[in-house]
Amino acid sequence: MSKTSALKGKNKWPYLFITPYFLSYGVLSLFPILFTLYISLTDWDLYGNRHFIGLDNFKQLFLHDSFFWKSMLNVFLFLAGYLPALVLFGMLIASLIESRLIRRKTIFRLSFFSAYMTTPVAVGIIFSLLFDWQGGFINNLLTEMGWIDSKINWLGSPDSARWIVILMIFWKNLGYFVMFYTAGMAGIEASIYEAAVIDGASSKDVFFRITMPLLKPINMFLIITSIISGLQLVEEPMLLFSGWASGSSMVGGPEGSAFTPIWYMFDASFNGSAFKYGKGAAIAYSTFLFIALFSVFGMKWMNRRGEEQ
Amino acid sequence: MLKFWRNKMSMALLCMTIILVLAGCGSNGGNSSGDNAGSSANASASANGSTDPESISAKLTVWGWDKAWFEGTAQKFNEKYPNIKLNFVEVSAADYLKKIQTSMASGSELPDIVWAESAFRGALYELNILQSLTAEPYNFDKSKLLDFELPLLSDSKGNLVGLEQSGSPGALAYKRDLAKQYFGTDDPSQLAGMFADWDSFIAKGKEVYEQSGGKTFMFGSLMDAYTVLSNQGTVPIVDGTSVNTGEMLNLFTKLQSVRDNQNDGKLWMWSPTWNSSYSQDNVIFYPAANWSPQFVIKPNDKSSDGRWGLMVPPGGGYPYGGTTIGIWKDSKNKDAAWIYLNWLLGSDEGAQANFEVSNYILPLKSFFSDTSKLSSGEDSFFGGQDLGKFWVDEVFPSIKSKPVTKYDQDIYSSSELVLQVMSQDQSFNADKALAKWEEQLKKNHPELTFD
Repeated sequence: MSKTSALKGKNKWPYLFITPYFLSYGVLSLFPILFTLYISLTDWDLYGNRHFIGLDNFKQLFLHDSFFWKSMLNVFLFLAGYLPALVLFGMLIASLIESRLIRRKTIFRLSFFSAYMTTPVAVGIIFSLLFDWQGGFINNLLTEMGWIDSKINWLGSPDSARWIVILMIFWKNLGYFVMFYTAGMAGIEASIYEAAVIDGASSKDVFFRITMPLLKPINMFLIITSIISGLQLVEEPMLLFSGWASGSSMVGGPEGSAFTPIWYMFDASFNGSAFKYGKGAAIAYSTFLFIALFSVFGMKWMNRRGEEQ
Repeated sequence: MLKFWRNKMSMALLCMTIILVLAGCGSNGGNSSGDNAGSSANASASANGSTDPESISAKLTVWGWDKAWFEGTAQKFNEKYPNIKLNFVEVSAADYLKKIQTSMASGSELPDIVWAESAFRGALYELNILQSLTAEPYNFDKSKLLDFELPLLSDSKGNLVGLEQSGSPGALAYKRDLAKQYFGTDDPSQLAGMFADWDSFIAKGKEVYEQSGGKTFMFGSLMDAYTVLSNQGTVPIVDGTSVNTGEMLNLFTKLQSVRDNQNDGKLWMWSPTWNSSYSQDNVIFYPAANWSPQFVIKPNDKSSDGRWGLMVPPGGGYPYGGTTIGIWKDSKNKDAAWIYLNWLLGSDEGAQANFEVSNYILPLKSFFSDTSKLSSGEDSFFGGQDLGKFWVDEVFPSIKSKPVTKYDQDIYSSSELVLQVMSQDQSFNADKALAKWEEQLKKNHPELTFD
């Protein structure tokens, strides 16, 4: 049967019913994706420029733009800081919640998860108030306790600013990790644990040799999605350093230590007065390439470990 | 038969779904900025005001944020022009430029009346969306405006592209009790005499710091000092694409001196701690414009009475804030928009209405011919000072300004970033600040050249 006759027959209905999705995908996703690619190849700004310049934006970014590489370095430093901690503490807390030690499990699950439900804008503002130099809660507490003589400018130095971003993302996402791990642990059959205990396995052996390997699909999902969202990080650091006056912003934090690629895209295209849409689109595409590259790399790495085992 | 109807129904549902999806994505064409297309712009003959005001009809769309002022003045405008309807769309100042950008990028219509706050007006002028008011047929006479306003209202080609919502004179607000304690007087004139230049101000600040045991500072932050000093400058920081680094280095050198002499309280301007310092004893001086008492000082120090004063800073008054209001050059209702704008911000009648509604002082020379009417009476919150007279008699005459540029917003945010480092790192001097500032500014403006 030819393709056209297949569409005429009974089979046409599935095709027709998925058409609205593909139409909306085409208009709302595919077209913007392709149009952004086109924009990235132009010098479009709102001051009248809109010329095709080939790969110049990409060349400029990759070969001459230290801000772009710094923003990339920052997101990887953040990921290196919070991702292992999230996996480790997420599993530990989840196994604690799932253990017999804890009775009212729902309260604990909810209390960890509630941070994840907080909007990123609020998270940024909460942390900027906590770590404010002169009036922040942390400095006031440390001074009152007599642990420090002069107040520390947490958000003013690059190192401490990066640690605060890491802490902020860790605090926010811990509940999300705990939720997945508790769901994963609840799904492991009790008989496996019972058999291991009968065979004389210690709690440590049970955790490392049963729980962790069986949570591998969940780990893989969490790590890959964390890499993707980590590379797209923008709201939390932006709000942390947004300044308080309308229109003003400490773009990138001290010495660009909290600058992220998406913040750079926003800064080049919409913030300030550059309106460089071509450059912004090139940053967006370059970030997408990095996301794709590291997602594939992450999946391969995790699968290889599985194959070796 | 049943199968036939089922097929028909399925097809109809499918079509409806597709139509809904497409309708959701469709452009709303010419109607995006209100009912421009539907309005009857019968105002072409009235630019000189010779037509009967009641015969002019149009519907104007205005994007803005100061709703109370808009509504108060619109009511008075409609008493004279009852058939020019004003449709106000509230857009916050923080989002304003982004909304203009996205409308331009998508090809949507802009409002007939466009507002531009001081922070971004330079950038908005260069988008080439505003009508020149000195061109035909409007021929607005520039000489009607106070001289310092012209650079603030003109684009880089010298076109006057809007009128000022309110002259925004800048001065210094101070706490009278602290002034008396550290300077021996709280009288604004005596204080202005005592601080004839910035060097004497900074030197006194060091004494205050030492006398208070490091608890009281002249300014809350380096950005406070920057706000006054940068706005007092008369030389443009960027001319075309050439950056005047000498001017910037002078500014950073002065700010380094502010820091080295412990004049800054190391707060973050506009932060909650900076706001709360208004009711505390750790900071004496703040930059203040004529909008500051209502929007900043009184809300931050509600319980005090007679504690505050206003004085002319060393170096004189400066423009602090302000909003340009102009006409979209492709508006279908340009003539009616001009009638509104000219009445509101270019005429004595409008100036009077502005003063009555919000105490706003239009920078029109004719309005300043008799300053007695601009008295606002004694204000007990400010120790009995007549703020209206203070602004008009003491600050306005000394204000100078420099041309606005499309880089102003980025110059400000780059400076803010640099001054954060300077305030905490004693080894970060003016030269280092300039180098870092250049780096920041070049990030999105590689076309700039630094002398």
